[in-house]
Amino acid sequence: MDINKKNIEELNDLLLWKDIISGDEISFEKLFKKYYNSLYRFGNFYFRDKDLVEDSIHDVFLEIWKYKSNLNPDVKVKAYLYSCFKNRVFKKMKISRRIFTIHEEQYNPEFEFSVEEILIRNEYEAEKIQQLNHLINQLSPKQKEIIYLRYFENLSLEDISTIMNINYQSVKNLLHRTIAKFKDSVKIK
Amino acid sequence: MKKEFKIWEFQDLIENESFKNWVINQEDSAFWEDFATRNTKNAQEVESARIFILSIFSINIKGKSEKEIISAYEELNLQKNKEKRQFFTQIYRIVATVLILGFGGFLSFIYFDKSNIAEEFKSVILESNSKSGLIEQINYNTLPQIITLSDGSSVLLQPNSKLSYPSEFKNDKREVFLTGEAFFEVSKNPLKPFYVYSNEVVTRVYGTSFRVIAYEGQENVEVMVKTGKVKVSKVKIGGKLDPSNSLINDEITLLPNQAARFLKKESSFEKVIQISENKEIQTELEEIEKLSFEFDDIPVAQIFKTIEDVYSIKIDYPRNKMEKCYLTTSLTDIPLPEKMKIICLAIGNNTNYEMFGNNIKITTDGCN
Repeated sequence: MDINKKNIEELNDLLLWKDIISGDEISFEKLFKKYYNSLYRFGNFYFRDKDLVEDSIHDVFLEIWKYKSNLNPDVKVKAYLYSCFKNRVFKKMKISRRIFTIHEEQYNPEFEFSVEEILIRNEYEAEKIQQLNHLINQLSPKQKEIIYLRYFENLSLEDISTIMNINYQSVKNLLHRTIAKFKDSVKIK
Repeated sequence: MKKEFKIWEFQDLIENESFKNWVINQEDSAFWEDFATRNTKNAQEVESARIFILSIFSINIKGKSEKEIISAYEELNLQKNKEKRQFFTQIYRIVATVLILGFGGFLSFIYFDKSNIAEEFKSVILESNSKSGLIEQINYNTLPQIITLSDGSSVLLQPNSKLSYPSEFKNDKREVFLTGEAFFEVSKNPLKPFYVYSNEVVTRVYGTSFRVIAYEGQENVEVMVKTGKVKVSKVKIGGKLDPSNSLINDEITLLPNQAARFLKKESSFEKVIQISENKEIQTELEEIEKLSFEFDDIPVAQIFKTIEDVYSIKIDYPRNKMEKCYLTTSLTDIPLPEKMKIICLAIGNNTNYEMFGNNIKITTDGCN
């Protein structure tokens, strides 16, 4: 049932996408509003520069509209948006690099945590979660990204491979290695 | 899903939608609680996976509010339309230059005589005539005449009215010129907007049905909408034929059952909101606007009769073969050729139609 829900989601996106290609402004607006916040969150998680993130979302959608007639009608819309968005942010960073030096940590995504207490059963659990959060922040940037995309955004490995620009097998391996790190540390004694 | 028969490991759990749903939204709890208490191995895996999910979903990244997103879109919308406008203006400039080279004296006369709007409009027609070689159709009969355009749109031209249109719509827009009165049913194509030029008024649509009344010598120009959305604006004085310019002009959007009247003297629009509440306009409406094309289990013969009456055409079909044909279909807001196509498809059995002027001939093997 849940798998179907995801497929319907993808299908809906694709329908919007095809309408955009044929010049439908309403679908364009819908897609923008639908993905604004998820791109915004992803951008802020990844790059932390709010203005840069906002400008990049703006640019990506402007280009989609401008070149709509040349767009590929059969894409995974969400993955495509994320990967365009990421490329755009990096491009913008490179341009500004001529003026400013970019600090390393701008590439290093950071998880900020705020635990909703309702979901936590007891203090022991809260402590465990805190430990794990700490562990997540110790990961390499790529590992953080894959965790975010896979478990927070619920994207498929295929989509992740598009967004991270690495092949499917590498995504699988990276995810496997990352998960292995957690397995032991969250073990309940 | 056959959850029971699988051995669940940490990774299986954290990737399972139902499991996540249980952790985050407390759904499917009966299954997962039962699962966790079956044996200690399960319990451990479930607890680890649960903490992992909670940990991931405790990421604190604030999104933007709905209001902020709307204003972000408005900003984008502004820029996206600005770029489009610049593009049109550029094209217009190139066209204008070419024209001035070609018709130097003639054009400059009209260009500078800004008071003479009617002349202006004539020049617009002339320009288009010389460019694309328009077909000019004048209805001298006492009955309306149906015209099918190359894009499948249909125009019901009233007596003593004239429609000029290209044999084929090239370019990125569909343009026709009307003097008199006509009812348009425009086939949908968002890529090629449809423009009707009538005296000083431009009507722009993407696919809809509406009526334009613009007789020469008549005080006002009227546009009435049956379905869809229509935009009307003035032909810009001195601006020549440039729809993108008229976009900047005061443009009025009309929705179904709305009408606008252009007052020539004042050179401005008067929007009449509800057609049904305005008696003066009500009387001007023809059968076609008042009629619904919603057919529910109706004999085909009767559907043909309705179409014949509304479009003032003659439909020739084998009556004996189609005696038992009943149809349920919605043909509102569809141009005549498309209406015929849908009916033929619905009947099936090799049903086809051919159109010669005001006559339609149906061939069929009958109904199932």
